[in-house]
Amino acid sequence: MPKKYITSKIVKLVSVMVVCAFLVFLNPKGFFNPVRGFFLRIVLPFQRVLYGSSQRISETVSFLASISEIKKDNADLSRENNFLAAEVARLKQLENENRTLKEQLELLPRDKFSLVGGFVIGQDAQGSEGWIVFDKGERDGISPGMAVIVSNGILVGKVDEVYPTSSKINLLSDSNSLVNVVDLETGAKGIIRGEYGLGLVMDMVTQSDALNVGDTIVTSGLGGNIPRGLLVGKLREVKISDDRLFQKAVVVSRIKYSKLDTVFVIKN
Amino acid sequence: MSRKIIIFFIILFSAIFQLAVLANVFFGGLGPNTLLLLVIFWVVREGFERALFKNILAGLVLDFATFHVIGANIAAFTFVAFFISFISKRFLVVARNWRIFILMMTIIFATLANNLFLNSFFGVADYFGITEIGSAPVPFFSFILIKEVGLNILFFPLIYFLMKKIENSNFLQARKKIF
Repeated sequence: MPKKYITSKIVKLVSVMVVCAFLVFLNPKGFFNPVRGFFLRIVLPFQRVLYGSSQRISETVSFLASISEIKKDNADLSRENNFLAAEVARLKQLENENRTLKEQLELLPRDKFSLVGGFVIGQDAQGSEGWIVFDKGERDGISPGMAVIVSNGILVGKVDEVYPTSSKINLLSDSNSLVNVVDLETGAKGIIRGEYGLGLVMDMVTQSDALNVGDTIVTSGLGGNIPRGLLVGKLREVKISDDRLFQKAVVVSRIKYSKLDTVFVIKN
Repeated sequence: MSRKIIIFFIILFSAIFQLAVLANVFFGGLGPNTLLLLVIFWVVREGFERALFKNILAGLVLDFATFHVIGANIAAFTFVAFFISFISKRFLVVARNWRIFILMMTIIFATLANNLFLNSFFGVADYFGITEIGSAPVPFFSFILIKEVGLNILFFPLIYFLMKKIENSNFLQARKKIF
């Protein structure tokens, strides 16, 4: 008897693949958004409670793990305190200078933002720090493209998808995220995007522009809804792009994206 | 019917737990793929065809929860399940002494196959100009993927014993007899 190659198993596999291909290629993503919105509304309360609890567990574990280091940290902090006391005097002088510079750069004062605060209730579990779920949505006036910051005015990402009671925020470290930025010290303009293994990368900086390690990178306000002057991070390493046409630099953010708990969306 | 509802809640809870707890507790925002582990558990115990509905449901819930286009994870889980059933049928039954080792290899294979499928899927979608499909998976040749494989191996025994306990519970057994 000849061997049967087309078994019911293969038929089922092929059928599922064909249906999935139809779903993906014929239906745009937005087609299922009402169902997804309903799904997210159901899971929202559970996610909120579980995320909050796990944040506390995570903090407790980190605290317990750090007990042995506290003595050493204390000695370091005492030394640092003495150093900082001297620094304060110097910085007071710089504060006046900084105020003048800000006025010249026309940065939007952070207290003028119309902010919607809320909690992070879920995140990308792939370890690529691509996106987070925010517990505010359409009902709170949030729309795609709005900038998302943490309390002290540091940009963390942009609103990507909005549902009635929640929204998806694409973090700066996501490979699809693109934000126009400028080097505060030299004025070099570029685009910040996420790159696997490197974190944030400032790209598309022309060869004639200057980039120095330690420079502060802020948003330039060009294109989209991102206001000018939001802190992104500091330059850690400067490289030449693969095509040798542009410079690119690794940017270090002060924010640990995987540990975000409260964020603010800028409405205006 | 009520058995299917319980399975739906197991899948739903697993997805919420994966995104809201595990990704938060583990360093670097990386957690084990609990839904993939559930798929492995069901396919190894029940075979591809009997576990098909559960795998589709798991993929659908993950598509909704991770903002992927509907169909991406369904296809990935079905693809992975087909090959796991192929391996488990041939090796797990024959080489009983090597069961743990083969199961471990199955988890490694399933994690890599799932990632490879999703990466290929995103590549094909990109080729056809479909961009609104959600966040891309981690690249196949990356250290993060090795970490995910490790976490999945560590978590599988927990999922296995929890699921075995649920499946053997009086409640599910009683329901099984009635329906």
